[in-house]
Amino acid sequence: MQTLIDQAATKTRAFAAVPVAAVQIAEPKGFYPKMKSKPGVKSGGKAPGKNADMKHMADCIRAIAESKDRKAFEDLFRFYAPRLKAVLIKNGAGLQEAEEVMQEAMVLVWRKAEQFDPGKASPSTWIYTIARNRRIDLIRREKRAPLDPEDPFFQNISAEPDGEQVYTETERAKIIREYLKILPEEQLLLVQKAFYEEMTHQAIAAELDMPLGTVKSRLRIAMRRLREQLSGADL
Amino acid sequence: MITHHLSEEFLVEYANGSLPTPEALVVGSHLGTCSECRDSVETFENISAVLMEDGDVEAVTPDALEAVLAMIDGPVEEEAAPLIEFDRATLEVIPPALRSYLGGSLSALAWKRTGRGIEEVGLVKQDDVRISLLRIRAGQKVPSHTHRGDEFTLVLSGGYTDGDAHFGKGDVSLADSDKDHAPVADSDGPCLCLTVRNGAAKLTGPIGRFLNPVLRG
Repeated sequence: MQTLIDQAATKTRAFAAVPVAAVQIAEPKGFYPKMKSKPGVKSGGKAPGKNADMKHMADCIRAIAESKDRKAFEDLFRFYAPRLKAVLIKNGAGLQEAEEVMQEAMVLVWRKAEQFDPGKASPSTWIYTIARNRRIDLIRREKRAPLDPEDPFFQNISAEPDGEQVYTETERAKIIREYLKILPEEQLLLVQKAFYEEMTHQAIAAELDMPLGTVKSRLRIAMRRLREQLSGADL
Repeated sequence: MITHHLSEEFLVEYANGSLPTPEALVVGSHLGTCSECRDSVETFENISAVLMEDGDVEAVTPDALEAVLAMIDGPVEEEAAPLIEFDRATLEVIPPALRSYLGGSLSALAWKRTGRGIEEVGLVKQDDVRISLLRIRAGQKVPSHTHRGDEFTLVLSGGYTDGDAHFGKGDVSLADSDKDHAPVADSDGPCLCLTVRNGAAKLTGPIGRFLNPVLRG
């Protein structure tokens, strides 16, 4: 408990521009803050095999769950490991750190494979959230777990979305991908900073030398339109 | 039916993992009750996943796959210490995200009277952050007050009225400093709230918030 409190407080302060050394991570170069200097990211560039076959990825996860299929795991690893590592580095992790967190996340992919529900998440979203939760847990001991519909908390309220999702997970990913293509440059940049580089609004505002209110409102506009499309407003 | 949500930037930062722990606790607790905000967070995670899929790659170390396979064959890391056994009444009211902050079931906590008809249990008290549970007697008026910093209030059970607005289970409000408010608990039962105060945000507005960390060294 005390540790949690300490870190909660530390993180609140580390929100600042002061480079507080990363908490509880082997390499002292922290994920936060990412206000200014980024470690020299030598990005490997765009990957081959873009728009990977998500059905195959889902099959791989199921094969791990059902028969501990190592070949299936290798397929997942080849596609996701380099991408997760790239995201971690964008987020400010050092090379060593990114490698470690990526490896731990991939171990969790193996161990949690039985929990994967293709009706609820695409393979990429599922794996992304596993890696993100692992990172959050490492930097500030904050445990996040998927909601359990059987939990007594949901006795009188639903853990499920109100309505049926209009689109399947695959269709949702497609809509998002298409939407990002037509997004005005200025909004796309903010979307990338927020959802790919995982920056705070404040950090984005500082990096782009833009008023915080502008960052917030542009992102809000971009999200509103996307949500409309995902909710089938155009149907 | 949730009518009071947090503004979207909290959900964005919760989804991308950059929101500090106290605020993330408020969002996580709100999400327990609010399917609409859960849906937003899920959409944000979908965006991150698409960007990751189409994004850059960074070469992994040559033995990375072998290392991971070895870890898979190795011992499973022990889960954290066994969770506290909460009673049913507590489980129905305390969202999963908040449970690790409680030392026991609601009835077993050390409630302290902090005002007429008001009881409080402090969960976290560290530097500028105060996290508490507040129990307000049915119909009780909370004395008018302002805050030194931001204060998040999330209704866990019951409800209250503040000015023209009513707040029920799952509703969340963010009051920043100077905002004068005087909530009154609903008359049909006690109101249980989670409050998260962050005194650090003494200066408000974009410039104040940006300077604040610097001012505090």
